[in-house]
Amino acid sequence: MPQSPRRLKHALAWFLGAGFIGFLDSLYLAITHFIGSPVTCGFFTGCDVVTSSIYSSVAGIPIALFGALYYLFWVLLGVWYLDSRNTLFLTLLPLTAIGFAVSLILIGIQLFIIDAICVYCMLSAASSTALFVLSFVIRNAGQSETPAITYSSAI
Amino acid sequence: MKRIAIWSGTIAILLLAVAGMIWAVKNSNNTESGDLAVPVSASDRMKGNPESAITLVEYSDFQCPACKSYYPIVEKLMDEYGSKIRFVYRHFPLPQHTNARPTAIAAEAAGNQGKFWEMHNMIFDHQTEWAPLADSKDALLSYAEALGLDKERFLQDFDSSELQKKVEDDLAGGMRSSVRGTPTFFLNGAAIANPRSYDEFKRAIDAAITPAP
Repeated sequence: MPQSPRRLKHALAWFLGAGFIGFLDSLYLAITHFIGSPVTCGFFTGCDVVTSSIYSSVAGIPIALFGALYYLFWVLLGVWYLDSRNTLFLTLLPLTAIGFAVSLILIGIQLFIIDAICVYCMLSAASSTALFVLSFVIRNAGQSETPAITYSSAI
Repeated sequence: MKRIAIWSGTIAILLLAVAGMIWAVKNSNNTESGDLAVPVSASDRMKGNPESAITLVEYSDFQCPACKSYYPIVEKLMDEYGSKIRFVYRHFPLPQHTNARPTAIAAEAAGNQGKFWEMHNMIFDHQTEWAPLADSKDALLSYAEALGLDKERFLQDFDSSELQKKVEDDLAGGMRSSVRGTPTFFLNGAAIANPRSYDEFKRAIDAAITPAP
């Protein structure tokens, strides 16, 4: 199966890219929260409405910080897989569904409760959706590639 | 060797991203960008001690949530320092806030009847009510009535080009002062970074009142 390794490599590259974009995006929102700087919205509207709403933080911790840590987790895990081909990564990939589900909930809150859309939140939703979709591709391609190391032997 | 390269590269990129982002956000802060281009004049909405040499100017947008959160802070400051400083409120309606201009004009219309600050407070206090409305005029009219304003005169002023021009002039002046977001504060003509707490604001005012030797 010569297709699989190449497909896996491409999917991993996209996965890391999406994770990194999501990380930067969430990091920006988290930093503006802690520094107290306004969110630069450009031509888009609603950023300050959404990011200053009561739904933007949990117990005083901005949701964006959780997002940044979530993307950081996948980026590091992706790099680890790239390096080790440890199949634990493939086993954990279905957890990207959590990020995808949270994104759907947050989009719902923006659309139906706050009635404003924050472009950064939408970019984050796109990133987590991309991670979720790519998780299927990587699992498929990864499982058809002969695993170099299984997680039991690597830990 | 390859492993070290991969991990050190990854960590370096992530650290650079974090440091770069913090630097970018700090430097894009909406203040500290310049001096007040338009000096305070009689046409400004002012409170506190009009003779004071300490002047705090705020460029604000009634529909901006951050401005609303600074409103009680400024109120508290004026309660404490009202006899020592003067506070000037200028309009900076952001394009994404469709009700920012009507509310600014309503405050000016109330000001024509001597109740600018009452309307200013009323508008901020009820921000969540009027902000989502497609047309805020009825809500503003109800606030004018609640404040006991002459309704006919309020409506006439609300539609006047003179007050629209006043708001636009404030906005243009803010742009000349390099205001890039709201609220932006100028203390004695110099932009200050938005204080993150009442105490931080107090320290800035205290420093202006009693300059370091």
